[in-house]
Amino acid sequence: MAQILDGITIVELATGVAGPSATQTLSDFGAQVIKVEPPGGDPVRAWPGPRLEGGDSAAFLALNRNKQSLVLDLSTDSGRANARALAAKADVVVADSDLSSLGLDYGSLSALNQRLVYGFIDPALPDGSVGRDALHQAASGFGSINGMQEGPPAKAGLPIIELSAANSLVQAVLAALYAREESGEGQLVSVGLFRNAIAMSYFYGLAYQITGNPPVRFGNGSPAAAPLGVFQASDGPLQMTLGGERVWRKFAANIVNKPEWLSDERYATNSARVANRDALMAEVEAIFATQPRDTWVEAMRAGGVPGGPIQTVGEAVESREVQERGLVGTAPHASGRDVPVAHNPIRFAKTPVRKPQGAPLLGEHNAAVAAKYGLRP
Amino acid sequence: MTNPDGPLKGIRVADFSRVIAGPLASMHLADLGADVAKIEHPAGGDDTRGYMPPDYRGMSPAFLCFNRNKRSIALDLTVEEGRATARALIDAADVVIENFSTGVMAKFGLDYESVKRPDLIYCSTSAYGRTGPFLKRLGYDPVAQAESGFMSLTGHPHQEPVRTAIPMIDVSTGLTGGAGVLAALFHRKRTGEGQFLEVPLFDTGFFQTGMHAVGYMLDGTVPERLGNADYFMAPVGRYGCLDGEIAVAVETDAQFQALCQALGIAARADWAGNAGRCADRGALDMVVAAALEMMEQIEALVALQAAGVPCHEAREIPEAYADPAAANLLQAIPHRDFGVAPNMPSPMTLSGTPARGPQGAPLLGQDGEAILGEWLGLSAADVNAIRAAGGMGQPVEAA
Repeated sequence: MAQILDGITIVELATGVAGPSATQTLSDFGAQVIKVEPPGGDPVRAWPGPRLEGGDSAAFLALNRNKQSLVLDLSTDSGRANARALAAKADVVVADSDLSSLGLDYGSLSALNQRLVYGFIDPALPDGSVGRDALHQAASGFGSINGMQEGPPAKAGLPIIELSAANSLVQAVLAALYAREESGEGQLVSVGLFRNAIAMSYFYGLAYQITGNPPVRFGNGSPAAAPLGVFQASDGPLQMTLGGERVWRKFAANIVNKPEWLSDERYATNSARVANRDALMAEVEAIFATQPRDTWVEAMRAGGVPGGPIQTVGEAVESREVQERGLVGTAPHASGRDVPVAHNPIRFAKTPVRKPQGAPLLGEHNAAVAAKYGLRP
Repeated sequence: MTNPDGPLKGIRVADFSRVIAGPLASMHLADLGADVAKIEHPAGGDDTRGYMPPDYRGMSPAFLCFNRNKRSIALDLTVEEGRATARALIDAADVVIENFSTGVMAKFGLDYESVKRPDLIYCSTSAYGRTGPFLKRLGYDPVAQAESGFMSLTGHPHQEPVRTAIPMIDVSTGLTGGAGVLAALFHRKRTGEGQFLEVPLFDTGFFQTGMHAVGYMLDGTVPERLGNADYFMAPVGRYGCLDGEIAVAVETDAQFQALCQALGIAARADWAGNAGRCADRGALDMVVAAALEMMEQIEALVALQAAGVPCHEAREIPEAYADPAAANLLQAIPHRDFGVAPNMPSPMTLSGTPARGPQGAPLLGQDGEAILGEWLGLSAADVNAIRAAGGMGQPVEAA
């Protein structure tokens, strides 16, 4: 079946997480992505941890499916000339560093191709240096608001500033392609990693602007509601959240069998429960400790109270939710073995995302791309 | 050629979504110029309006930061006139966004099957899907963080996992939903064809863990928590100096050599390569921490920056927002009732078709007459009849 971005060609001049993640999603929507790599390849190929035997890392596989790999040495005249030749015929370039010294910035390339959409992940930090996810979490304060109240901050364990920047860059590129349908002109669109890290502090950042009170870390609780968070059942941890008074009433009456709490003035309203958080949490913790996790989770699901087990990545992969919803699968790979895939979460009814192809070997498509675009050695 | 109204000028979005994921998706569409009618229940509206304290003139931080550039109409969907008005808005809209529990829109006769037409784009950000074995299950960010494996990756080693304080799965779902709607609009522009699309919260949360999920499927590796370190590079972390913290993120072997030279660290031979450093992350981290704790923050930053080692002052929110680079992004935006309102920036900038001039989030029901007049051509008398029948609420006055 046809995909939305059939016929759209994207040249990726990026490494790491944000740029490749953005182009991968656009490839899921049908775009043809040419991943331009230095002779040594995207460093992610060599990241430690799980990998193909003698080959690429799991992270590389997870960020680069469906793409073609083309090796170009951009430190040479011919490498740069070939990159410009590609960009002259492409619909989109995605870059994650300032390429003006190589003549591969938007100004240089738009002179060759007026229709070009240039998606830029800007890595600049406020002090003028550049950095990836961890430094932006640190510089923006985003990484300081997670963690236990009495302990040090813990940054988001996933590179979520880069992953969310990728999602916003996908939006910006799609908006630019949409506008191009009428104007016939491309444009520069960008998502700054620092800008994004500031944006991602959302209501914590906004509350600080209003009050001037520094945000406090709140662990797995919430400053605004109670009871919620992590609880130890008799055999493992679970998470529960109460979104509104109706759910609280269901919880008290049906899950923990405490209908008297509904008329207890300490607990009758959310603000009363927040004021009496410690007493309420102690009561709830004691009750949860009496039964196994599955018992509580099943009762909460049946009773309309949001809660679930805290699972490792392995438990999540093996879970009924992931397996029965078809969120993982395999894709063919040049090594001859199929490789695992975590599927794109978007489900379009009429234009389903592409059936995945495993991430390319380094330079796997050198000859094919060179022939198609008339590149010279 | 620039278009100051944004690339989506003229696109109408009937937005039934509440809380975070759906409203974030529609806010990005609004930033890009779409006319978003936020349809809210007359009794209090979107739950996030009540997420106080604190408040800015009666409006909550959560409502303000997910509802910029929208207009609000208060419709009671339990009343026939309210449902009929909502249906008329859908019939006049290009895009519908909703994130109710499965079955709610159907109960009101407003689900995709009931309202579909060939050019309509209808986006559901559901919890666990609108079909399949889990369609009735409720979804909330902290639970999705827990079940998807997302939460297991944040926190310090040998301590309880901790969710991200910002509900990043709600946020990711909203960003993904916005991308899905934009893709669907591009498809419609080319073919005239609309469609239903769905972005489930759980699926989106699980997808974020992809780098680790693929690793588990390759060889069974279950990642542990690493605090402020990184899974794939070392040393990475927040380190205390005599008078403050800095963050260091070494990406290459050459940068590591430079770090050792700058800090006077005698590196072990097996730390020369990144894989060796990651394998011995704990010991390496202690050596780096020991070197930095003897230095002033500025001294450490100057030394590392001169050596070309990626690093930055590590901050909490107040220090970060005092930086002119942040303050520039955090300027107040116009608000029609308050003059100005505090704001969090959009992550995106579009040079050729800039986001439109921002307007702070609306008061509940404030735009009912205007939306019904512009979208449906209803007169004041028509609107009063809907209101008299209980289908539409009164606008809330500014506090």
